[in-house]
Amino acid sequence: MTPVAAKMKRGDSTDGGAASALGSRLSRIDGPAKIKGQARYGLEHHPANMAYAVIVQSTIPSGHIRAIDSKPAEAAPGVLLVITPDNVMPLKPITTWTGAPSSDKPYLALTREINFTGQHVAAVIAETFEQASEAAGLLRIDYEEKESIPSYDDPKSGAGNPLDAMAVAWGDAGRAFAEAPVRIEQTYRTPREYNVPIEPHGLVAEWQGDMLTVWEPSQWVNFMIHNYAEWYGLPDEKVRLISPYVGGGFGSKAFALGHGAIATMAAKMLNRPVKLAVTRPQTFTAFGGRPATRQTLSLGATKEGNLLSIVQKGANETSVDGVWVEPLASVTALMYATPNLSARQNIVPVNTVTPCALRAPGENPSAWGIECAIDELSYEVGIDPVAIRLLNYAEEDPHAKKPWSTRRLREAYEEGAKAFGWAKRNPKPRSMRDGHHLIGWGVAAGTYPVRRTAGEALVRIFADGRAEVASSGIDMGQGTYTILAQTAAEAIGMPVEQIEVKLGDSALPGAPVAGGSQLANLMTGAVHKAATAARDELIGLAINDPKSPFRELQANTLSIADGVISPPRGGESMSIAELLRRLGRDKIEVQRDTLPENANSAADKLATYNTITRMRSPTDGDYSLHAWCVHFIEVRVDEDFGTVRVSRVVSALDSGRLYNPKLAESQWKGGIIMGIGQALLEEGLVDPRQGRVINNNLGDYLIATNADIPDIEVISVGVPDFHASALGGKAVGELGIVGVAPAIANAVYHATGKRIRELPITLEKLLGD
Amino acid sequence: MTARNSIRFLRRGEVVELTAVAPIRTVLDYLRLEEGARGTKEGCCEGDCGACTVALGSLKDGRLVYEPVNACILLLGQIDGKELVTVDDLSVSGKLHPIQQALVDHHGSQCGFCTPGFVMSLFPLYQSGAVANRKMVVDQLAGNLCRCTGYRPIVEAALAACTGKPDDAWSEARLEIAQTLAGFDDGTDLFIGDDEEFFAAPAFDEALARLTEKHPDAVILSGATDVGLWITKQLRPIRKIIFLGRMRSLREIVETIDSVRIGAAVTYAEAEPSFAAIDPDLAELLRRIGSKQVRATGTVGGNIANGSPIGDTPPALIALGAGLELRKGRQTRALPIEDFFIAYGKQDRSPGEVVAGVSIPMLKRGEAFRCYKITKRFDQDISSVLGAFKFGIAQGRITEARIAYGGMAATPKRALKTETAVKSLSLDDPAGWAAAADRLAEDFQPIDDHRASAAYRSETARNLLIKALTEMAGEATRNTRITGMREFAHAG
Ligand SMILES: Cc1cc2nc3c(=O)[nH]c(=O)nc-3n(C[C@H](O)[C@H](O)[C@H](O)COP(=O)(O)OP(=O)(O)OC[C@H]3O[C@@H](n4cnc5c(N)ncnc54)[C@H](O)[C@@H]3O)c2cc1C
Ligand code: FES
Ligand code: FES
Repeated sequence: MTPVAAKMKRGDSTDGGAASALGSRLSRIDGPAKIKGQARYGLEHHPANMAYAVIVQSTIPSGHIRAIDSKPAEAAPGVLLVITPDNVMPLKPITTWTGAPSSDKPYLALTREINFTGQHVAAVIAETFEQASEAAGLLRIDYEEKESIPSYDDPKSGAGNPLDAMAVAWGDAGRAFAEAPVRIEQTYRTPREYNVPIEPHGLVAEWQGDMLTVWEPSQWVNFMIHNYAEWYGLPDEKVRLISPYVGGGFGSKAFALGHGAIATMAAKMLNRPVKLAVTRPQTFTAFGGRPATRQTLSLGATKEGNLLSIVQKGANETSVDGVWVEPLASVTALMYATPNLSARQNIVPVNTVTPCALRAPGENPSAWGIECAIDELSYEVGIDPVAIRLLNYAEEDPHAKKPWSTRRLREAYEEGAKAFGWAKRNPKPRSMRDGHHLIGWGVAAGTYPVRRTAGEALVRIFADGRAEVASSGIDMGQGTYTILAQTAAEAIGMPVEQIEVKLGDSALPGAPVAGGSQLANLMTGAVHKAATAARDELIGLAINDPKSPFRELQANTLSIADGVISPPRGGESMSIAELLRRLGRDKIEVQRDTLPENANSAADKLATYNTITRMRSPTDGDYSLHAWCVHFIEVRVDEDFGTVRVSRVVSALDSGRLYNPKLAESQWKGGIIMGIGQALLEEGLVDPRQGRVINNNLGDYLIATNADIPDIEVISVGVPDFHASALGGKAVGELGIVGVAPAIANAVYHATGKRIRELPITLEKLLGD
Repeated sequence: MTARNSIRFLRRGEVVELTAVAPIRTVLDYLRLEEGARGTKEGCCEGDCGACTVALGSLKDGRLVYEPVNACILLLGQIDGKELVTVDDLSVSGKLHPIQQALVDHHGSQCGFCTPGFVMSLFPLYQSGAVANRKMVVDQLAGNLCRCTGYRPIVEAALAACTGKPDDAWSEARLEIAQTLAGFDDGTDLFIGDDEEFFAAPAFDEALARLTEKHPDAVILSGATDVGLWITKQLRPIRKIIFLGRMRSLREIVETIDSVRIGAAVTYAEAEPSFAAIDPDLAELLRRIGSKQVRATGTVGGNIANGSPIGDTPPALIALGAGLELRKGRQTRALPIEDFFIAYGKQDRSPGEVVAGVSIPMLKRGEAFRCYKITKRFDQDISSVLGAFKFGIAQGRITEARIAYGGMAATPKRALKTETAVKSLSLDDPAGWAAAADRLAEDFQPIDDHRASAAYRSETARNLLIKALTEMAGEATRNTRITGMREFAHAG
């Protein structure tokens, strides 16, 4: 790693520079619309003559439907249509997000075979929502129930299926562990967790002839229209998806789901626009969240605390009819230098909806295991939890055996510890008290890979002096609107207020998924390229066009700043608007993509925007690319009642260059509070008989409230990393949550002397022994 | 006397009068579907997330007061006589409202879906003229969930905007608004619909008596923080509603030297000062019920009437020795509140009978009270266990004890055996306390559920009793409370 010069440029506002330039703390440009209540979300689009669909879900976990009597529902006032497995429209199979065909059989959004409680079994469409809901209650469904496996804690589930492709190994980990002087072996568990964006899922679908328009919150517009198009055997151009605002997704809004199939087919069958809002309880089974995970970690070490071996045996739940892998080794095999490692993972099918991505899938539970285990080791060998992490610091990627592009994790430990006051920590558990409360200080690290996919952007400069940036990429709160405006403003040389950004519409140039924390990097890259090309075209015109006043200067370049074009050595300058008017041009329009030059055909673009097959792995190339973080956390525990409150968080994070520190900090903090909720509150409770999610509402599935959140200080320790992305950024959105839960568990141990190895850390786990 | 057959409320400076109102129409549906005002969001439809928060202006003792409410579970008929303010109204002629501007400046919004709700939770705080401090803001926002921002930017925005000097269209029009609202208060009974399907909001005792006699099957409605969920979640086909919120006799608070009588239709928010006058723990308990939104409409009467084993006020009221007043037609009767709760889902109340009020004796010299609510999440969470204790103390000994728990049995329940054991305990001799606490096992056999296990409940109940005794043991701890940063303080 190159030593950091004292005055290293961070590429953000700490370097100084214009208040709106890339790297500045410009306030979110979509803020006012949201705060005025004027931002229109998917379900708020109400075309004329719209009908309402309500979904009915199964009440058994496994079995089949003998019969559905829909007559009473059909006869109810206002009812237009009842869709059941008997009359569901078969849709064509699709190409999945991995590029593989889903199946060779038609897709049936409703089937008689039941695989989990809460599976969609019917839909009622009526003139009003109330009528549809009332009629939905009239459906008589005769089930034949089969034995089911509600969770992987049920002995019937067995050990599951090994995923050989996920196995990682180097050295002889088993033997090294057996021979190690110090050994730790423990099992760490996480429960089912749910995305719960505050905007529930749903859509409004409308057909005009064979053209389908869908208003639906989406993290991945291109994949979703392709999915809808394939279902109905249409070219992608025949489907338009509009999603300018997304009320949170956290991984759950990237795919067209069963309810999307139902709403679009209902709209087709009725030839009317249909709105389908998934109710909050239904969101718990209409798509999956993070699966329950368990992992047994065996750490072998020297008496001095040097790791000799890591053995991991992990498992996650999946559904009986789908596969979801939560990669449990992703941090285990990356964070520490160990001469021997072996990691294996099984998936265990149970009667649940197929799990899916929830903020930092893989990294999150993976860090939970290893960051708790290394902490246990630190007490075992009697060294400081930060010191043991530095002792085993990985100087290169221990798995890929490649150098890190940047890894400012040492700096993160250093700056975080300093800001937190870690040096004052009494290492002994139960040694710190404040009145009735036990105080604990814990630490844990986290990481998230840099994922890279190409993108595309359209930039227009208009004769009135405004410019426009357009992409189908989306903004669900991360700040895409703002940073793309900043990027274009800087590249062209225009005031940021003059730039309008259009997003989340499949009619605009394509973009890959807003997931894997990649969108900001890839879209700033594409916009920068397109905007720079637009600027070059503008300058070219100014120099060469006979109508241009700059022509006689015979300059070989001009500069543009603040929307004004100036000759290099003084002289008359002129606004962009004025120049375009003089040239008689109404606009300059440039579209650019960042696909490789030898692979940018239409088919390549489809593969890039509609699948993840063109997403480059973090170790593709000469370097291993990752973002890093460390969390220092203080907890207060009331032992009489087992209550834990997080009272202080200091996190130091390396996300490379921050395009807008205000937005990035907000993302990090959002991740950290989700981590606090994960550590202390969040848990999908599954009824052991019916496999039902008992707490399927926001009153019982507890996410952190304001009162649960302490002061959070975030410190950026990153520097621009141009191996990672065109403009130097690394991952932001999913980084913050990784490592928070283990830091809290480690703090709880320090406070109480009790190791809680199963999330969440609830009242009763701390009472009793 | 003829009843009024329309509801009236103030909206954007205009009086809205509606004659055709389905009894179960919610304010949220009215806004989004009828008015087309879609700034107000729906995130859960059960009062949990606050995305649907709107503000209601009303006159309280002649003063114009704004309160946040959950539009998703509030029935349209309940806003009769009030002013309805939504996020769509706040920026006047393109200029952001000071709260909105502060939220923009402090980056209080990410995905933006929760944002209108936060704006409208802060609007009443802004109008109140209070100089906001952190504690007030945290309390104000307890009912709003945000999955994105981490809350702090919103708190900072609130502190920046609520500086004690409201200066907006509402503060300018205060007098006018107050006059309009005063004009709404015509004292008539309200009845919309027919005998089969109606929303009735009587103002007078005779009208209520007539209605309950004629329609014993009607749903009695107070704040709708329970009933609203029957409508939006359980989809119960409710056709007849008798709303008590306009009943003058049920909206009174009468404080005397030795007791406080709280009318059944008094909201939590309105009862707060009187509860505080009885004991600070009672006020703190109230503050931890639901959220500002829930407390703005929810009532103590409803909390008692619904008979829930995990309702928060009943155990406290039982420990305090409160008396309940019930009214059927023109008849009233009184009973000790613990006798009201017969079994799970069963109360001593006949169809058409209403809870009229609760009388709470003031603490006497030598009496002390403690009440603790234990939850997983600090705010907006249902109690795992709630313990309430009233002790009479003389010469370092407990002479009288009333102890009640919530979450320990199928109803809120007194711990009679434990009370006997606690009486005569010496506060100077903690060694004796454990034996008394053992008796809890005879009083309660709690069950496991998703909020807590039976073992946890039993152990916590014990620890709460010991905690109460410990706090009573010294003169100083008996009469003081540690408040501090409430995010960190817990269970008192
Ligand atoms: C988000 C949320 C959080 C909550 N948090 C808490 C909490 O922390 N603690 C807690 O205890 N509760 C909580 N609740 C439950 C609820 O707020 C309380 O039970 C409340 O006191 C009910 O009062 P209400 O006026 O809204 O009753 P309503 O919903 O109007 O009525 C409740 C029931 O009582 C009947 N009823 C109401 N008034 C009378 C009367 N005068 N006479 C006879 N019957 C009557 C109704 O018919 C109905 O059966 C919460 C609710 C929500 C939505
Ligand atoms: S919509 Fe969630 S509280 Fe009303
Ligand atoms: S900004 Fe997304 S829920 Fe608050």
